[in-house]
Amino acid sequence: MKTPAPRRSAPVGARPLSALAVRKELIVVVLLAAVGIVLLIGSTTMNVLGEDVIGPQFVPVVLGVLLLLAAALLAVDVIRHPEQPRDLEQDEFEGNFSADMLHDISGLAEPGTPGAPTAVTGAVSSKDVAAAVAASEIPTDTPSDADAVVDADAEVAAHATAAKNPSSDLRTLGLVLLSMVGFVVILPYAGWVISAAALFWCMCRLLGSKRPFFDIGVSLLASSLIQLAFGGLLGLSLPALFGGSL
Amino acid sequence: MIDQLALLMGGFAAALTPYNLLFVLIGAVLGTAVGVLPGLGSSMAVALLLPITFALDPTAAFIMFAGVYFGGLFGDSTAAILLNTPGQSSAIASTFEGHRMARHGRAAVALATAAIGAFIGGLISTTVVVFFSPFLVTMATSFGPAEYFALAVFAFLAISSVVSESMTRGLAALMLGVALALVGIDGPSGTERFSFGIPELFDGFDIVVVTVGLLALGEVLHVASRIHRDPESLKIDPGGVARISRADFRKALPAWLRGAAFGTPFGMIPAGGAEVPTFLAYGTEKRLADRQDDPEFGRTGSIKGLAAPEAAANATAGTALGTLLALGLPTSATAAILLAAFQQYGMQPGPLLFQRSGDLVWTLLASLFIGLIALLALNIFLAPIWARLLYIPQHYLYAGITILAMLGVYAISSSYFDLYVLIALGAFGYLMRRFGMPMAPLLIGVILGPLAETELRRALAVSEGDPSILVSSPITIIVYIVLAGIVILSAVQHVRHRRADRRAAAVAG
Repeated sequence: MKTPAPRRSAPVGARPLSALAVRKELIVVVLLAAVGIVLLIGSTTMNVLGEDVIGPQFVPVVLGVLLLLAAALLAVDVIRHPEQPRDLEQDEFEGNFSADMLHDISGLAEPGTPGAPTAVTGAVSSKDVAAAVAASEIPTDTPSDADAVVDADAEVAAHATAAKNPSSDLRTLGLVLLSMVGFVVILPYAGWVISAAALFWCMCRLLGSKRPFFDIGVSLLASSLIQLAFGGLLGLSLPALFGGSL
Repeated sequence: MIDQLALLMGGFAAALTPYNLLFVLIGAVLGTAVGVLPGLGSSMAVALLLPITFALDPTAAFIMFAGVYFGGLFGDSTAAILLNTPGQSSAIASTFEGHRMARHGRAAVALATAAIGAFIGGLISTTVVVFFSPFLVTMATSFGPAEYFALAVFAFLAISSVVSESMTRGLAALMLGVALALVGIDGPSGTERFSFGIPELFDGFDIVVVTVGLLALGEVLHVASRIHRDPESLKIDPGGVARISRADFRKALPAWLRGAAFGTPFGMIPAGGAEVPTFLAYGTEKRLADRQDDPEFGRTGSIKGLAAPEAAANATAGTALGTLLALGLPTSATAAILLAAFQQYGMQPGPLLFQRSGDLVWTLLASLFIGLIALLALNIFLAPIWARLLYIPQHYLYAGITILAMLGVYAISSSYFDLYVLIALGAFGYLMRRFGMPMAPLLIGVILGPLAETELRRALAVSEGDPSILVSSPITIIVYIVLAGIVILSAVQHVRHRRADRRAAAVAG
């Protein structure tokens, strides 16, 4: 167990997902293609002012074509390499940097060496790296390091559990989005203090707070403090109750 | 040389008023606080606190930013060490040895090492900026549209294809960013583009709305989608004030200097920020430790393995700011947000900034030094207080971020429409995250896209449509050759790793 399972292998006993469920990334493909098409249509119907050689429609056209190209490339990639359940587990920096490159320049792990799973797997989270390094490099036979091994083991185990529940929590996500929109809707009428406190309270509730009554106090405190600091001290004008007509 | 010193002294004189000192301090405290909060990094600190400064005058605002900019980086390492969660990818290299030290009861030493490392890195690179920026400015005055376009292309490709994990996704994110920036009335011709007849969109998306939406709300939504799924991580108590013994200090000193030497030049290259130099610094220490049979490295945590990347990260941040001021070119996502801040105040970083607002620039540079000293003190003596921040329940943390983001965006123009745009962009940011699309190219695209387009059209207008003007000067040719070299190298590397993957899969299967 010293080495976490390679990323591309599905966890044992995981429910097989349908062909589309593992290709949710096609949403991004659709998004890219849609933006590309909007750019192309927009630039042909543009009411161009001025008579420059390279007018305002030049860049949108180039960009639109390139976006369609990128959409096609990504589509091929997604269809050929569907997301594995383990890939669905999100980490902090996925895609933001090339883990391979960073491994190469830091000498974290030699590519292709057994016991260096992180180098084989492409995208790795910082936790993966840290856990894997800890797990593979701390010698188990040194008594003084026993606690470290336990820690590392616990980390790896915790990580493995997290990986078993891969899909996004769309219910929480939707409710959070809804409360944000609700905040903007009531803001002009209810004023900053009440709307912001309501948003704060809803967010706490949705993100797992167990003390709704205590939270009412915290919410009102937070929104009033902001009102005092920014409205009072910095002179920012925030919406008042009933548009300030009372 | 003497000129710069005189100008810097003038900057100190302007910065050392009680009023301005107060803002350096506020910035340092806020920056550290946001940086310490788990999952939030320095670019988030800058994005979240940016709109709040609009109520201040430009000098006070930028002085405060000097504190926030470095403060986020100081705070980042605290979360990395105590919690093993770096707020930003530039702090990842610090987590390896730093968290290991903390787990073996040396958290206070690790925090002191990180704070002093960040101080030394920032100090060296800011000094380099002071003496080097006039040179950069002189160089930049000879740049024409073709040179600026070449530099923008360099930044685009380096950040999206080399640093990102997948070239396709990096480039796609970049193009989405550029497309977002196309909305609104086109500057040179006055043509209305992609605003769909909505008057609120004639000015385009406000850059602050975009950054806050993508970074802050995107993060909140990402957490919302995971919070009931992921286990909580282990928190370690720092055990009092951060401190370091003389022996440890002597051990770490060469590593700090080596780290700063890696970071300083990298800040000037548009390669996405501090990931590459921090990992280079970490790798160097690892190799040195292997050669010297260091018993601590990779086991109980080596002080050198923490000192080097920490110094490298702040050194990169220092020169990145210098490059932004002198050339007007952001070399990292955080610098790109700062560029947005300048634009918000109607200032365009670049050679002209030193002429037109020289006072402001030198006051800002002086504030960086003051901010670094304040941050060193704050992070050494108040380490236990920052560590308390890690115990704030996540739901209060993210609820707070949400209302601060709303406040910030409302503060820009008191527009309810902007708030809806903010939420939509947050959802978009979440989608990007969910599917592993990198954020840095997107932000660089939004911010540098208009610049690249303007310079391209300007260059082609001069040559009456002849594209050869783009490669007509030695500087442009050098930029494109270096860029081609980097892209080829990184393509080779991607292919090599994919082969290694396949071999490993064959062995495993």
